[in-house]
Amino acid sequence: MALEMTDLTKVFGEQTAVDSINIKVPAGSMYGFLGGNGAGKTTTFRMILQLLTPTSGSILYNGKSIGYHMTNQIGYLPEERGLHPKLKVSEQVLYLAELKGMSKKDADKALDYWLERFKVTENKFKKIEKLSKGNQQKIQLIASIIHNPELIILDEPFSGLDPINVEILKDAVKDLNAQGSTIIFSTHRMEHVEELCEELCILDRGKQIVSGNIDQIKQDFGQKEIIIEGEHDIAFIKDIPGVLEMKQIRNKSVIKIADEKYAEDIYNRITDIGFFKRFQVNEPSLNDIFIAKVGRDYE
Amino acid sequence: MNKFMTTFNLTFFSKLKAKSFLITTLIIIAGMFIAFNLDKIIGLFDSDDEELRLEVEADETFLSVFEPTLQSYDETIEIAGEDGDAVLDIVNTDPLEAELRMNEEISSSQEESIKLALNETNRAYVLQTLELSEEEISRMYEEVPVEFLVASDNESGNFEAADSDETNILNMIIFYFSVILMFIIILNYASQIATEIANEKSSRVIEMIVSSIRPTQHLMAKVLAMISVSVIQVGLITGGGLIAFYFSDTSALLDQFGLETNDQTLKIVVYCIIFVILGLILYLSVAAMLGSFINRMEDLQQGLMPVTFLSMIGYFIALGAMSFADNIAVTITSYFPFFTPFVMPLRLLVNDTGHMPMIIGILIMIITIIIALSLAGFVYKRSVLSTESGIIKNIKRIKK
Repeated sequence: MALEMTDLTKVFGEQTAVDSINIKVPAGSMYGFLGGNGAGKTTTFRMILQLLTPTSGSILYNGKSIGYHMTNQIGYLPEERGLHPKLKVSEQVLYLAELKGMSKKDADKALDYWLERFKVTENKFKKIEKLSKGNQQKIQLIASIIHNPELIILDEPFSGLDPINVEILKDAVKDLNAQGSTIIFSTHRMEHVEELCEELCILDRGKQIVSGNIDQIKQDFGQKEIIIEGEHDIAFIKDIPGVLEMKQIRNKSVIKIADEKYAEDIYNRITDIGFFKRFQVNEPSLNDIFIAKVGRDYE
Repeated sequence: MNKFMTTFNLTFFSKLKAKSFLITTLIIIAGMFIAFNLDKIIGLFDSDDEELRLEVEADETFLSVFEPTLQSYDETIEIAGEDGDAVLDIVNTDPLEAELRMNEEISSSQEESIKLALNETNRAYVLQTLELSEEEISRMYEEVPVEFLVASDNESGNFEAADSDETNILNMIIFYFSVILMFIIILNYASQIATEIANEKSSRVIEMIVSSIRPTQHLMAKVLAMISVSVIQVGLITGGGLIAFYFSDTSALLDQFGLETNDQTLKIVVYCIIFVILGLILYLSVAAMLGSFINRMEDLQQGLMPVTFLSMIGYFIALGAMSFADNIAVTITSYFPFFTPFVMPLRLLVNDTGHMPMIIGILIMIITIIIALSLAGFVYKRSVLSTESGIIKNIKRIKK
């Protein structure tokens, strides 16, 4: 286990920002922190990085307490973006790389590679204030990963980027993960977590709603979704035992069932009526899980 | 330590390479070169110093006294037998009356020299008519010896010689130079260091930085870099000043103002250097602490007000208390750490203050600097990720 948080709590005055969370991030995994504004994602990251002292609980990295002695192994992209506006791109990135223990020569070589990869080579000697917001974000991401860290923490890495740049960034993150880095990132977009992560944690107002392997979470959740498309009237389905909810939009019906075992019974009943274009059993979406656990819609 | 040096180097070299640093240093040094060579510069543009050929209509006896006297006042005036640019007509010798007729106006300094020479000649004439011996004449010019005595402390009724209040002008110049320089550098660098810290915080890059280096280590590296830059600037300006002084007509200046070293000079130079450096470190540490409270650049001037006010009060005490430097109020203020660097050298200048008060002053400053730096580190660590808009809100947040 690369990173382990036990009963981690952070209280600001009368407000509990993070409420006793227990998370295990496996080494080499891509771990998603999902939650809306004020869920506690950034506070958790700041505690991991020792920027905030936990009110209680512990954080261990490879079995040891995290401290400034291991910051060279960690890369961090904060949610609030910003670089020294008056510095040139190379000066800024090389300074941050040197703070991570890199030599100037190695950092310069790595900078060239990443500028090339993000297609911003022409900006190397430009002042940061002259760059577009999207390009500044790319430079900041380069600064956070240039030292090839073991653990990369990315706070809302995709926010504010156009779709093309989101794809470039996703590819880079996937590559870093493939090369062995453990990556933790936060987002409020469920599709990013579903696409990139094998492990996740959903936070809501400081509380840990659910965490672990996504497939396992969905499996354990039990509920499934059935989509049926056809001309026949199937309103009777909502009275079948195990059916939790049914929505009908023209000739398409979306049915939630308490367990996969009820799907077969439903299938048998409708095939007796006649032909249906589609009968599909889906895994529950993260939104379904969120609603079921929290009792309200996500965001 | 490497991380400390990384931050130190970035701040130090970017400040040293900054145009503002180079321009202000050059302007001040150039200003000093101009000030020290002002007489030469004025001379370059002064066309009044042209040679004046003066024709004097008087008898030989008058001329024999007047000519050498005039020569001693003004070398640009030459006595001509005929065809002079101006004619000095001695209308009467008892009492002396003269008339100066000019083809064109002569300079005011030449006019003044002629007047002085005439007065001097008149005096010689009058003395001559009194038929005084040379000895009597020299006795007339003798200074009257006066002894100033004050009652001694014991009750014996005896008196002892009063301290001479005469202040060595060179020492005074050294003191003024150090106080003015310190005040300017404090105002300049206090604002720079607070801007630097607030800027970094408001640009939010600080979160990436403090995830790599301890906040206090980062702050100390920045403060030390700024102090080093300021000390280098002080050194460059002082060095430039000395070179300017050396290349100027120093002997004339020394003669004119009686600038000469005395047994206090070395002491004053050493203590002035120590107090300038300690003053800079103290005020810049406080500015760093105040900068840590600030999250928005608009609050910067408001946040820096304590530094501005304290340094200004110290500066005015130092400049204004010259004539009553042995006053108890001055002695007390010299032990208030924020005024010590300004007021302590003043005490050394005007009376026989020994080494002890200076050493106490230095110790007070070192302790205050340590406290200010620790406080700056404490505040910085707690406010580095704060986005509270107001300074007061930030202080409340830190106190929690």
